[in-house]
Amino acid sequence: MRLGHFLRMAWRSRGLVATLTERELRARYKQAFLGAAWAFAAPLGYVVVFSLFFDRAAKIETFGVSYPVFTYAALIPWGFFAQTVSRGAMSVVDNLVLLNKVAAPRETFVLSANTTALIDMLVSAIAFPVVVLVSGEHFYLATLTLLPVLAVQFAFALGLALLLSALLVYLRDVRHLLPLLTQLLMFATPVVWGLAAVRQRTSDGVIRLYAILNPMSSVCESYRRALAYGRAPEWELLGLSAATATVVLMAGYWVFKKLEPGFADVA
Amino acid sequence: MLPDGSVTASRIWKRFRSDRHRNLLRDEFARISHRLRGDTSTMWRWAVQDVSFEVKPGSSLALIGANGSGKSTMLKMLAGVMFPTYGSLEATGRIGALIEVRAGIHPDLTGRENIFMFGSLLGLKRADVRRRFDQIVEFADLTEAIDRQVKFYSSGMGMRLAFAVAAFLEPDILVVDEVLAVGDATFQQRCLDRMREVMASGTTLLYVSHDLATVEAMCNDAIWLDRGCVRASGPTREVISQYRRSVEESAKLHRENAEVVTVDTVHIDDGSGRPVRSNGPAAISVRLRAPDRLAARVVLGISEGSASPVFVIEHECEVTPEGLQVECRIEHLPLPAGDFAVWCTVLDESGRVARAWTPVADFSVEGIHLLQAPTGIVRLSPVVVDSSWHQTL
Repeated sequence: MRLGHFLRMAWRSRGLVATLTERELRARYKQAFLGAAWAFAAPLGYVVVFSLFFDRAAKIETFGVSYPVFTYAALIPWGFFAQTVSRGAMSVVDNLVLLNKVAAPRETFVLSANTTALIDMLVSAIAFPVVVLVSGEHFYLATLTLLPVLAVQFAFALGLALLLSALLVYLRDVRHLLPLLTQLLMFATPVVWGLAAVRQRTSDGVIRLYAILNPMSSVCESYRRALAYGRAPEWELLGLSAATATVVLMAGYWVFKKLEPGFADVA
Repeated sequence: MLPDGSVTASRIWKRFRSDRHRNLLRDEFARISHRLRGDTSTMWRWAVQDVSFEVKPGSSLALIGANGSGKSTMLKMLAGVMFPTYGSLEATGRIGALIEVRAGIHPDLTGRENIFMFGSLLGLKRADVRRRFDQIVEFADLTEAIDRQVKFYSSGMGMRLAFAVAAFLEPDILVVDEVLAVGDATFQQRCLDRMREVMASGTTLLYVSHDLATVEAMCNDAIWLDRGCVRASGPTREVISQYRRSVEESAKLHRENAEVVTVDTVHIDDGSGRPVRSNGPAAISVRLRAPDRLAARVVLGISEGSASPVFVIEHECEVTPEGLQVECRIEHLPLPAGDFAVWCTVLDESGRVARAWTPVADFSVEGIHLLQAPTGIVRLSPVVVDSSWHQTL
């Protein structure tokens, strides 16, 4: 199966992925004055803006949790997702010159962009306890249930990044659409608003369909449940999203492999 | 299963787009609308056409030819970066490619970080790089600059860094594309030495260069590509001499018309009507004509076909409208057996060109065959030198 092929490739080139990730992180943090601080400066900024705007103006139902914690919990995986879509999708185009000279497995560039985003996410999560303490909330052991969620979000984002990175080689102008798409997608995902409030008004079927169509919805909700409310993910919805993520990963890898032989021709 | 280090290319074809299509969604829409109107033409250019060859482990093959003849495309396919449109290509063992390697160097990282980075891009484990680290740094001559960011390097330093990592790969097949053109003379020599060492350990070499002297020094066999097709293949010296001949032919075609002095006839023999022999006498006679009397310097060069002669000889004379016959005698022509060409230019008193530097005659030399220099030693001119050896204890 293709997926097995992909996993074998990923394992074989783990050294290269590690080095590429290290290069990315080092180069980034070396230049930035504040270094790693940037990784959580951005989500913190969002939290402040969202708290001022959505909490005050839009009156989002948070079921007893302070709004900064409510939105920060979901912003952690979302920041990862947005970064994979922007960086992961560009990872092949940005490295075309190199890929035209060195016969390294090209998937590793996408994979390392995703790994970089994951590490950034973990760094940014360091700020979460601070937000929790400032807001006077609790920190929960349920956080540990997020490990399978991590797998779902990684698989889904990687599949999308593989698909987009291959397409972008042939359709370079699509890159200008990406920021807009991620921004719109954020509002289609429970980041600033909560799924629980919507649930009271719709049927379970619609919610299930939503989990299939947008795996990030289950991911963000799971983070929120664990970090803000101390509850385990809703396994059924997460399972549906995991199925979509697997399909997306397989499709993304299939398209990537189909288009890969032509990369050097159009570089 | 072929042994490691062998390459088999059979009937390789490779094409590229040659229309104005860009990789944009915009252009894709335009193409779809063209197609709807029944216009389905996509223009292709064949960069490589029906190329086949075989390289045995431990031997070396050069690809030569003019710019745009498909050499680099061929090497990219061999390196596994590009894929042939038709045909099959099989290369066994680890392939190390040196194709404009600077691309792998990240400007924001230090030299040390880049060595590990580039090493793992080429498929080396970190431990492998660590083991060779000192050798690499020494080879690249970067001792004190190694912990500086690469963006503060000179271009030569960056190139040396990349080459040094690749040179210590220890691959089964080494693919080299014109990398020696960059870097100073010392470094070039070090690269050639390293390539010789690598070859001595049994690595197969595939080499592309415009420097025919190094090609001859490095490779047993050569393939001459001309607009994607194989024009000649075989032992390097034979292929190179055919290639030089064609360079000479095209130089003849490009002769300029507005020339003051014209060369009417050129004749070359041993002075008594027989063909010239190595180390024997030679007589070159040239008949020159000019519309007005002209004090001129005639320069003759003997070459293997290209515009760079093995040696030149010159004579000052006065060219007249009636024509002037000049004859030059060489007592011991220092040329080995083979085909050569006479090139000629005429300069006036002030050094202005009165006749451009072009080939005027071909001739063959019989006799001594050229001694082949050991692999990796670049011999610049093919000359025969009489030598006698004495040995004492």
